[in-house]
Amino acid sequence: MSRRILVIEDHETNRRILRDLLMSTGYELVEAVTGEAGVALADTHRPDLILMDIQLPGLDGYEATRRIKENPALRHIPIIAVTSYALSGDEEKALEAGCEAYVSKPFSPRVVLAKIREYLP
Amino acid sequence: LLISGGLITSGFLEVYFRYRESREQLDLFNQEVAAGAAFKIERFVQEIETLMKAATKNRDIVVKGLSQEYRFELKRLFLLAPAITDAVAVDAAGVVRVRASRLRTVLSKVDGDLATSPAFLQGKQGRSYFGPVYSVRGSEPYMTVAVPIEPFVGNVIGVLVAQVNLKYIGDVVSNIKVGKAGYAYAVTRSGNLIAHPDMSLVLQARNVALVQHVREAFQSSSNALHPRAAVIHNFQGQKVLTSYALIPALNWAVFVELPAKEAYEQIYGSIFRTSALLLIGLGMALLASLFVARRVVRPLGILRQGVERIGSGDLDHRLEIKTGDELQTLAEEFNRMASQLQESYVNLEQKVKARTQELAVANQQLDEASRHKSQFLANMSHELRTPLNGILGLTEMILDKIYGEVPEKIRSALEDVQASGRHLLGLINDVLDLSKIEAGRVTLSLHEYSMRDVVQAVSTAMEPLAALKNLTLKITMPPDLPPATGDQRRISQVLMNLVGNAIKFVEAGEVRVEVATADGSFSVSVSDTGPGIAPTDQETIFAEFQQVDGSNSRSKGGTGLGLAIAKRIIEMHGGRIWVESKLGMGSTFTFTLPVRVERQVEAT
Repeated sequence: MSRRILVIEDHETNRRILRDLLMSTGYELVEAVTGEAGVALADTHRPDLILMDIQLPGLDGYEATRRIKENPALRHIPIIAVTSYALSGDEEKALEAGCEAYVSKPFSPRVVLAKIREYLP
Repeated sequence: LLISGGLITSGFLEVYFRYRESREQLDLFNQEVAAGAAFKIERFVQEIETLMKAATKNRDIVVKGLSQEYRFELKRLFLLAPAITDAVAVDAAGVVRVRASRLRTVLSKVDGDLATSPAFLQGKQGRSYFGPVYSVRGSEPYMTVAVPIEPFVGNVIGVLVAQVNLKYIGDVVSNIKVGKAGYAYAVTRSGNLIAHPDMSLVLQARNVALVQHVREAFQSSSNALHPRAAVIHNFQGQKVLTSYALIPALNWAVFVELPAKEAYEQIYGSIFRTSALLLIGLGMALLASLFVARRVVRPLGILRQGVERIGSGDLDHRLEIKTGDELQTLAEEFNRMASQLQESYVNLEQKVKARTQELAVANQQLDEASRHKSQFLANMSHELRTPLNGILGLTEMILDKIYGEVPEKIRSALEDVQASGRHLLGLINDVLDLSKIEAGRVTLSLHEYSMRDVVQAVSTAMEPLAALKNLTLKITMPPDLPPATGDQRRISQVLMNLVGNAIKFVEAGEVRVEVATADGSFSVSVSDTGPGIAPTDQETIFAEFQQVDGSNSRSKGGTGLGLAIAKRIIEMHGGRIWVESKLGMGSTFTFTLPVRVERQVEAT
């Protein structure tokens, strides 16, 4: 049975990269363009992992993560944050918000895949 | 003190002059007494002489010569002159013609050889004679007086010789009282006492000719300037104040003596009064000077203290002097000066305040601008990074054959795209990083870390790069590195940068990383066998956008910001970074880092 990954990302190109990367490696993909949609889809689709972009219009990645982690039914889902810059301090904030891990943008698809495989072997 | 000194000096002078004056007055008084007595004695003798002379002018003498009837004339003389006790009329040949005596007994003296006596001889010459004083049988002093019997001028027919009792002179002298214990006495030139209150001295025929002041008195008779008063020891050994008066006609002198004790009592009394007055004066002068001191010195003290206070910056201080004189004027001038200074200060302070405010506004504007710049850079960084993410991500996936097989030509081109994209990303990251550090917007995240882990992570990350160029990456570390505190990621960034640079610039050989600890600091050095750095370049290598050779750096793909950032990061940790190098001999970059960094060092 294939694992389901929720990608919350507002940028089309990035979504495409992740889509192409994950579909080609056999994951099932659910996509959300906003934070609000992402929180809703997490509840409805119960993914096995969430890739959360931090810089989102409206509800940002930290807040979306907090809301998902507030839901006892969703709390167990690992969230990997995609931060915009390695040295900006976003990582710490992401971890504080409840993310399990992070990759920094611009991400290497190879690194993202490796990170996902840590949680979904 | 000066005033007191003056007063005391003048006091002493005053006392001295008062003493002199008292002495002089006393002496003058004594002298007058002496002169008075001398006058009386002289007159007494002269009267006797006159009476005797009158007795020689009797008509009987002219008619009868020195007959026995002349005796009556002599008796009459006795009546007129009670001091004459015996009288003898002698003729020109020295033969006694008439003799009369008040007493039954004739004085033996009279019986002497009259013809050769000085009394007769002098009388016969037509001059009066006053003989020496003698005493008769130890009783009273007598004197022989002789006058010529001269009925017509130049016709001396005899001499009238009389014995005069000088008791009267004794009375005159005895009646003289000077002060309480003062007394007078009369002396002949030959030193015989004629009269003295102590009669026994006269009767003993005491001769005082050798007594100093008596001799001086007679010697001085011709010298009016000679002092007529002195303090001497009299012939009785008593200390006395003495004055005298001469009786020239008789060659006698009257002395007035006042015991020195009494004399000085008077003088000292006077001096005492003067001194008392002086002391009172002195006291009053002192009081006056104290008053003056309060009037003048105290305001001066206030003036001095006040000026000191104003001088030391207490411009609110005002001098309170209400003396109504120049001091008050001076104080008012100082007050005016102080208030003008105060005004100037207030003006100055206001100006400084205004200027400070302007500066604060300018500063705020600068801060704002800086903040805007940082915000702009952060935004730009993000905006640039998002498309870069697409470029790099898709390139990598194509190269990873997610979209199928890639022809060799395309692969090579895509690898260049990837390299350029990564370079661009490095530039973006470094510019953002440095601008943030310079704006002071970077805070170190100080946590526990392990230097060993840092070095190993960097080693692991850089190993592939070194391997690509066939370089050896050699790590030397003591096994027991202490646990450390610092910003692990930033320290890794620095070490990564140094090792990356070394690998970049070395064509063949090795890159060595050595770690040591000493005095609570890590010392980390990265050595290479590269081309080395010229001394001039060593100085500027840590500045922004500085590389040894622009063309070289471009081919090596550096941004020129790495060392500048590394330097800032190390300094924020309280450490130091430097380079040692020789052209052609490789380079060694070393940084020190406190093992425990508890506080971030603010960038200067």
